[in-house]
Amino acid sequence: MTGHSEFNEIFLDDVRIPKSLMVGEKNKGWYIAMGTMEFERSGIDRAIGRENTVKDLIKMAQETKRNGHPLSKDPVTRQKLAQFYIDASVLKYTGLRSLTGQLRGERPGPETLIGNLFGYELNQRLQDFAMHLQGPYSRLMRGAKYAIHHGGWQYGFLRSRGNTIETGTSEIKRNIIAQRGLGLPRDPR
Amino acid sequence: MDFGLGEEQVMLKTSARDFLEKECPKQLVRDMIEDEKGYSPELWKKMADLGWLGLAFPEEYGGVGSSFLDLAVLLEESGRALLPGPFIPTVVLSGMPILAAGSEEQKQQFLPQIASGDMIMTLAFMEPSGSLETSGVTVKATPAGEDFIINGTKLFVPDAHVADYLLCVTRTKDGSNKEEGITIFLVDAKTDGIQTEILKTMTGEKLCEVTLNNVAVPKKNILGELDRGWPIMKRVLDEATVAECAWMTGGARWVLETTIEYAKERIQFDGPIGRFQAIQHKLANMTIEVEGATSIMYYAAWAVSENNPELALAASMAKAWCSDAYKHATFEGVQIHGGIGFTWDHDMHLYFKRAKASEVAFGDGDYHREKVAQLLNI
Repeated sequence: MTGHSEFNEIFLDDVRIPKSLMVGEKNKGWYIAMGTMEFERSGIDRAIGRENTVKDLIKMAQETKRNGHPLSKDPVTRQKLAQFYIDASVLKYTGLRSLTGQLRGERPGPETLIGNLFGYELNQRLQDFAMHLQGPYSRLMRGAKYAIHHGGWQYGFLRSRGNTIETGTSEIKRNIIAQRGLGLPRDPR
Repeated sequence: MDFGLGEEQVMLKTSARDFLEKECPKQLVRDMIEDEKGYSPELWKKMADLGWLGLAFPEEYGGVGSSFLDLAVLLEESGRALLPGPFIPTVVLSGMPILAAGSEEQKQQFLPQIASGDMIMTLAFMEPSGSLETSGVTVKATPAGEDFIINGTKLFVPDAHVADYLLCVTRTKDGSNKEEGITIFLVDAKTDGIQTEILKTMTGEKLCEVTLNNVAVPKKNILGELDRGWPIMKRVLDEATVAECAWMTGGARWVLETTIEYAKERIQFDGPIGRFQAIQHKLANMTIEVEGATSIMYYAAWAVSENNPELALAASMAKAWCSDAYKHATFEGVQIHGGIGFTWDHDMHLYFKRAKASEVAFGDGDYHREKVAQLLNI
């Protein structure tokens, strides 16, 4: 929906791969794939990224005037900004726990699933909030005259909708946290 | 007590839906994003022939003599179809204030032409400050003989590039009370000194920057009275707010219905994904919001029709609710569709972007919640 092409379909037509390139054991590929996804989902990269986003939002609120006052002085906005900063900090320290675990050679634990899920959903909320701060200007796309910060936030906002779908939907991740992380029984299908 | 649509309104709704399903397919919506005009003049004429444009005008001005509530029914179906073009700007933002406050001469000049589809109009109100308050009106109009000279910039003016006339909200007197000294002018879009530039928007709708450079407008083109334009504007904003809510409700319901269908059809993990509680709970929540939107929107449309004293409160409640409801519906609409919901090809993003744009039109949720608090004397 951003107008960009990031995700593709790959069509495999009698593709020959030498056996030497097999990763792990034959017929055990699912577990390996899930294992790599655990690392992808550990989300340590998100740890610092979101803090910067929050700082950018605080700056935008300070620079945006509504009815003569900077938005950063509006009580409702202040509460939301403060909570975002708290959320980003929680994400950062959770990410550092994950990183520590990886450096120690431990397998990623439930705190890694939380980081990824929470981080992605936080990003969606942050991007939506950026739109909220921009008010009527939120409608302007990249390249529009009058667009705030060249319409970069608009792209970020649209792109963020894929966050809760890519690397597994948030719904699946919650199931995994519950079933694999917390040992809860599977739903009868 | 009758909190349902009347028989005629149901007929209007059904025929409008059938008409738009045929005449306004999603391909047209997508084409209009790139189109210079941003709307189909052929479709506009068909709408005029059906009486849509003059629906809420009295018969003596070429209208059908129906109510704002009836118009809300049409707006809801239009929002469901994502109808491109200046429907709200021409009928609600321009036609309704002319009907309410225009001189007999002005009403005769403009309303029949709007109804017949021969006049496109829009309202130039917001300025770069992005404010909806009286203090946001700074575009100046200074008297010069039989004319007034207008100078300044208006922003986010819908469809100004195709408008024949603009209702321009100006400041003619600058005192400490910003509510006084606002004057609305009917400005011929072909007047010297008007420059219009289309802004690139997320939805593809045509919002414009309108720069007025020594634009001369005759005194007789004042709508209502000199310096006393704000009461007219207040009413326009309330009606526009409710109109937008109707548009939003129609779109939100499409999102809900389409997503329910998908949840029933999409097979994954050995069955339809709609059997999972997570999906069911999301759809249930969406239903609460969309049904709620329908309830409060029609209440507000009724209040406008009846000129009920609770009109302003109803309008703000509706906008606050609908702003959240439409947005949430599209967020979950995308999510439940999974990867395909994120694609350009699927129609969901057209509604998603519309929801965000509507969220901020005529004031967002926070703005209207504050208004509700004020109106409740909290």
